[in-house]
Amino acid sequence: MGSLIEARGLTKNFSGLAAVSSVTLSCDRGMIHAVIGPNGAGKSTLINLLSGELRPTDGQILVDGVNVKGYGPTKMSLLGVGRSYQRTNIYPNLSVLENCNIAVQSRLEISMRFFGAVTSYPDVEARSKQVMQRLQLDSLAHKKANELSHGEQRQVEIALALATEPKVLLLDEPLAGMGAEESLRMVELLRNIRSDFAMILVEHDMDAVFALADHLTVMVNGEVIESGKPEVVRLSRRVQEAYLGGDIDE
Amino acid sequence: MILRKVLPALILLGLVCLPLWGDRFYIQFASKILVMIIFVSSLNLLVGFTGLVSLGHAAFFGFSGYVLAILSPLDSPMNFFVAFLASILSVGVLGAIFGALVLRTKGIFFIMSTLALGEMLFYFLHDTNLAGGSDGMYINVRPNLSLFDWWHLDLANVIHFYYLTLILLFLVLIVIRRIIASPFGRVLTGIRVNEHRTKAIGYNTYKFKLVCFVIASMIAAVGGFLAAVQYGVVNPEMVGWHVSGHALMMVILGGKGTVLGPVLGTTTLMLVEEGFQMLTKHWQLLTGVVIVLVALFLPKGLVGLKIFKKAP
Amino acid sequence: MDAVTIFIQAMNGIQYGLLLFLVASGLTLIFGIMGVINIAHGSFYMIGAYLAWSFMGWIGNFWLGLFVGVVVAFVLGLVLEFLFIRFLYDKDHLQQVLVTYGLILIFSELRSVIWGDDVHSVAIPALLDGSIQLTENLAYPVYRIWLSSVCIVIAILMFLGIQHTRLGMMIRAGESDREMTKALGINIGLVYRFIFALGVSLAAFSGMISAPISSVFPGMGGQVLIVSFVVVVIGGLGSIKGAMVAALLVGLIDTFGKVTTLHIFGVNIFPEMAGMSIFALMALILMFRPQGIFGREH
Repeated sequence: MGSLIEARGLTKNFSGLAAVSSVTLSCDRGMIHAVIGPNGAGKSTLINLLSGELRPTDGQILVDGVNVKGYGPTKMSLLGVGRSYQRTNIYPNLSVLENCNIAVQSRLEISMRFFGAVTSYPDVEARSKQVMQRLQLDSLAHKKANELSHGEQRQVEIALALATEPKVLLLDEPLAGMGAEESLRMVELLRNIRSDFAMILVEHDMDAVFALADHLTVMVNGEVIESGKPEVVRLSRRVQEAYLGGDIDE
Repeated sequence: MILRKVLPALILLGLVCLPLWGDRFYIQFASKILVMIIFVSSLNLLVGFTGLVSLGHAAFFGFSGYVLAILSPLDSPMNFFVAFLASILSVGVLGAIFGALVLRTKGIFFIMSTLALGEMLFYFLHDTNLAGGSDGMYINVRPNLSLFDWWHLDLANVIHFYYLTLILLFLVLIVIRRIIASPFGRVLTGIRVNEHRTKAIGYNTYKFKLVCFVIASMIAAVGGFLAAVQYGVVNPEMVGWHVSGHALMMVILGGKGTVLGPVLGTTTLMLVEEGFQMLTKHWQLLTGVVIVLVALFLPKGLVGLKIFKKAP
Repeated sequence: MDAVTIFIQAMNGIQYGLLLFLVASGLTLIFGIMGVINIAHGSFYMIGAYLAWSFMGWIGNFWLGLFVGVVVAFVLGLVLEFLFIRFLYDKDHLQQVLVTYGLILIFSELRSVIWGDDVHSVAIPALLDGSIQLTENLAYPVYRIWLSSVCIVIAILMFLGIQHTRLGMMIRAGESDREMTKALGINIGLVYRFIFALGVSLAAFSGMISAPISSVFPGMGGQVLIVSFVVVVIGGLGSIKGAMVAALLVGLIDTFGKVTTLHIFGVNIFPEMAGMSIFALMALILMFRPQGIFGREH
């Protein structure tokens, strides 16, 4: 099969309780596969499993056909799985450029060089600039990350993942804590870069989800209750019930 | 502006000229400070640049001296370069073993296990008779440093020793400066600021920390080697955790994560302690008070003070 | 070694382990609840031992001395928390290490000023100054049995407290949930001060009751601190159960290490190497289970 990332029967138990239970999903280049569900549905756990931060209790993950059993986050990253975090996880007291530089350098075989100055490797900064451009951060390059607005910090969060040149992008609530305007901007940014990646998107903002997703999976209590085209899933009775009988648009 | 360029040059000139008018005692004391700066700088590489708070770093300082003492024949000098390399390399091996163990832990666990492993070495040297036990060992004849018979340094001569130490200190500072400005240093920064993310973007942080740990231990070994040559004796206290604790204090006092910090911190604390010792037998009490106050009120160290604000 | 000797050594090892547990649990408690690494913890042990020695001289009554000593240590804990420790709660470990390291120097020097640098011994209180005859020529001292029993009682009280109180819940939750602790809405400042003083008292109490069986000497604080660190690393941080198991393990290994003879190439490597055996155990744990026997994976 040609999927860039695929999970089969993925299960994670925490002291006997199933946080994720036999989830199967896949995603291919250019596609956005959104995962939604109420709080505690296991979405973040799913992302942590796919990125190697948690080891599954059962099931398997294939990245570009390779079974990645036992891979930790570092190996997953090197294999081409990039991720962003729900709680901003960047280098707060470094500049945006330096944030990107660290991430970019992870793809070059220079990190064990001790004596040449970083400036003698202009390639790193050149690639960082490209990343910043794509995420419209270039004007902020020399600002410290912790001096940026929340929305801008969320962009840096994504930039760090992009800078590692991933094939698969796992986005854990990229819009978390954002205002309406910032959200729109982020949706626009994601739309611009979508063609290069297989994206798995966990998000609460339904407007964003329906604006972006090609495929929608709904999780409740760790299980997938519905999966398919967004228009179809939207009308599913089970999904409507899961959202407490309310409208899926919340 | 001019001051900032002239001042370092003046200090350097002062250091170079010190033996010309200095009393024997002061030259020895100055050498002692220079040796300590080497050691404190190596600890700063771990604590200040990589965020690894070690309380067992003295193990490498002392062990280096022990290697020299063990290798030195009783009645003839050892070749300086052989002894130097042997000390640094043995400590590198010890650093790799200790590092491989302690780096499997994080945060407070790391602090505790570095302290414990350092003390393990202390008890080993103290309780067994393999290396002189609690009395330590003497280096009867100092290593012989000469190049093809036409150039010779007498390490028992305080002035010669002073210049050797000064040169090695400068080399060490240059090496550290280059390391932190290199791609490797960039990864260390990443680990210090946010290790979790650094792992997630594809760095095997354990490997980088281990390499850094070994480098730091080898630089500490340079200091320990010189200390052993200077005193002509090594004892278990050299690897003890009070040496590590003091060095940690000097890192903070000067300003962690800067090349200048250990220089300022070490010099200041050693001068202050020298003053205390003249005041009272219980000078450690005053040192303790200074440490508490600095840790509470000056966490960025002297480098964080206004006069140093824009210095490199 | 015959069976009786092994039995006696095992009793000694358990007794040492229980004592270590008291010290190490104070360390774990303070870290688990307040997130502070207190390397001055061993100093309180040392202070306790010297207090016991002083009070025995002044009051002449071990029990009264014990009581007064615990009160003094508790007050000392309150004062120290107020003066220094409370400023360290949201600081990084480096600052905590340095402030408490400074305290070590201060205490050690004060000890030298007040009590001098001599080694002292404290007499076993008359009430417990006997021994139980095991065989014709082997006996086991009553004092050691009493000491172990006291440690066990305190340990049980601690386990009960941790299982059944909200504070205990916080300890089990560990450092990562310190925000939750704050959310519980109790006067956290006072609770912290109380816990710190409790930890200090525990350490000092251990020092006091150990004084009659070990000598009272200047370096005893540093020694017990390091062994406690080994205990905590082996047991897993924030785990009282782990501290108990590790303390007993360390106590037994250390005790048997000192009486074992093991010849390698004709050289007896014990008991000189006995001091190393517990560190070797720690190294093994670091190699195979770096989070400690009962620690959670991080």
